[in-house]
Amino acid sequence: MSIRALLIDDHAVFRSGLRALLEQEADICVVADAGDGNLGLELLEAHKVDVVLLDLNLPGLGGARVAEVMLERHPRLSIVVLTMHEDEYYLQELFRIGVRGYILKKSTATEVVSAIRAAYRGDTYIDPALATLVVSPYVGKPVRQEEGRLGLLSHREQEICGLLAHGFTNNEVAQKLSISPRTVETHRINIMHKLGYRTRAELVRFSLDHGLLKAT
Amino acid sequence: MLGNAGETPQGDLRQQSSQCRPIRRGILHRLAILGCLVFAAIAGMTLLAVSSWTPGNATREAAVARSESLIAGVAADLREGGWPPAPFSLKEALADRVASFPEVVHLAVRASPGDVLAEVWHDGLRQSGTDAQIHTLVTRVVELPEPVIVSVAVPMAHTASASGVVLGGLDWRRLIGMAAVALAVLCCLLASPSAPFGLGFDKVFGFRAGAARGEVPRGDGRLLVLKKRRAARRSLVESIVRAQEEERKLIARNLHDEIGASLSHLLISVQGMCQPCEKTTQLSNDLRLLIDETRRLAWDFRPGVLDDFGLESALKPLLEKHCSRLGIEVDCECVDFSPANPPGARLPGEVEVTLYRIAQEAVTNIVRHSGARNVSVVLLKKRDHATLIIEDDGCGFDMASLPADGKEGHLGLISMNERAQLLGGTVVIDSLPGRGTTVRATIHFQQVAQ
Repeated sequence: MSIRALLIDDHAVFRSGLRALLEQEADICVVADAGDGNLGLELLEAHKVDVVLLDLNLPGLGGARVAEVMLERHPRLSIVVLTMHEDEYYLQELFRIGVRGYILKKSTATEVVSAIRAAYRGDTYIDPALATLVVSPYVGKPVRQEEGRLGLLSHREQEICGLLAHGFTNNEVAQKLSISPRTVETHRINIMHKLGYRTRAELVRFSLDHGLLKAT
Repeated sequence: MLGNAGETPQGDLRQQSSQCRPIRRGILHRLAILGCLVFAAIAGMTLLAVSSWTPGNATREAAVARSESLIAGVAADLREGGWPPAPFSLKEALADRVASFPEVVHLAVRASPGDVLAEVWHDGLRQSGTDAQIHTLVTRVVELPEPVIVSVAVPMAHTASASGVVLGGLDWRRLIGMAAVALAVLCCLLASPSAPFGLGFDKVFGFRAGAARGEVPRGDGRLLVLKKRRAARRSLVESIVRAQEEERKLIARNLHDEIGASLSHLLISVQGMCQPCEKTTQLSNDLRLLIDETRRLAWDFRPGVLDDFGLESALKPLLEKHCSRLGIEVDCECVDFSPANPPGARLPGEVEVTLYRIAQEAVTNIVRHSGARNVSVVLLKKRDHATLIIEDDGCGFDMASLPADGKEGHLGLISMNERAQLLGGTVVIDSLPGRGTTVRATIHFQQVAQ
């Protein structure tokens, strides 16, 4: 039994190219194609569809919204997003909505086919070009071991850490605490050294985790 | 522990101190003027006192001596002229005598019962009716067949004159003294804020000090004009920036959604229409490069994520695109302090774009000049303002060495400030040679229309 696919993209040339590409595969059958989201939604009701291949930049109803509506009506439907967007936020947003695959339009035909097959099986497929982006938050970063590390800092250092995390410059911290900017700099170097940090962003995270930042 | 940590980091110290200087200068200015006034008043009153109370004995004696010689001359004329004197020839003789005594106003010869035999007036005084201002300096009785009285009168001021010089009947010291006192009194009146004249000096001098504090005294036409011009300039810059952003957005969208999409479609068509061979593979690879280049261009104009997902989404890719590829470690943290905000709440659009452009400029500077190994970006969203901090551990620079006109290629620093100011925000740059650079932009967004 072949996989019944529905193509939704506003470029007719692209649709025909994609259709030609997919029809070379024995196990994939393109049952319909649409140039916009509304027509796509109608065709989805008219045909029995396994996988929807969906573009994000659509006239009228945007691709993300189309995916949302489709999944509301057919929660078990597999949607593969085919897009130009390489930013992780689109990826996150679409997976939050519930799509199964995310591939770039510059991918090879093999990847499109692989994505359709994976989505049909119920797996998740992410374009290999985006894999780096997805795992980058975990690469090269030490595992967080923040428990009990607040004790490493003296009371004064905790105070300065909180102020720095609040966005005050060295001079401003010095003024607030009535000490010299050089002393603040020394405290700051000590804090960084004790915690093994290099950036203010790390201080912000640390302060956040240990309640040194108060909501305003 | 954090006491007032919640308050906004307002302005930087350098800015504050540079604002103080003109104010202090204004105070010195006022003190100097006040000193001059006090000096003028004291000097004037001293001169007046001197001119009123010092009799000028030496001069008086000299004047008396001159008068005596005048009288002696007149007595000689009388003796020579015979008795009784002919009034007409006596008057002529008096006029001749008095001609060499310019200080004498009135010379009279009287018979002992008081009848005036002859008299000569200094015309100017006689005509202006200032008889009361003359003072009879010397009166002598000359023994002729009958005794006659000869009197010499001089102007009142002349008796006290130190030098004997008369200025139109008024002593120069008295004149200058009175002028100085009058000037001092006038200045005091003008300087008083509640001056009845409406235009107090404080407004004239307050112009400088007030302008340095950013105050604009009401009712001053020139300031209103300046204020209007500044507002006009600001709104012009604002509209230029807005138009520029719109245009960038349009170009980015067109590049991404039209050209980029068309290239993608071409790519998929190439793959779909022919059997894979070396030529189609090469073509596909070229198309992919072209797609990447188009995307990069579009992203540089204006990242789609900025509009679609917000500032936080755009900052991380910004760092990665500019820094990570150069081996600079990047770190980005965004904290939302406002408990009322739902997760992922967006900042007003203009604030997002402005902060993004500031971050972009700061990152460009870091990549170009700093040689940093670590860059961190922190976005702090609070109830009514957002703070963005871009910090590096690069070479830093000496803030004092930057010329004020932006000629030395630090226009970027100025443009960051200008962008922030359009939304009433501030940019603080803190840097020391060898200690890295911190750029902090703060924008309050309650007034910024969303």
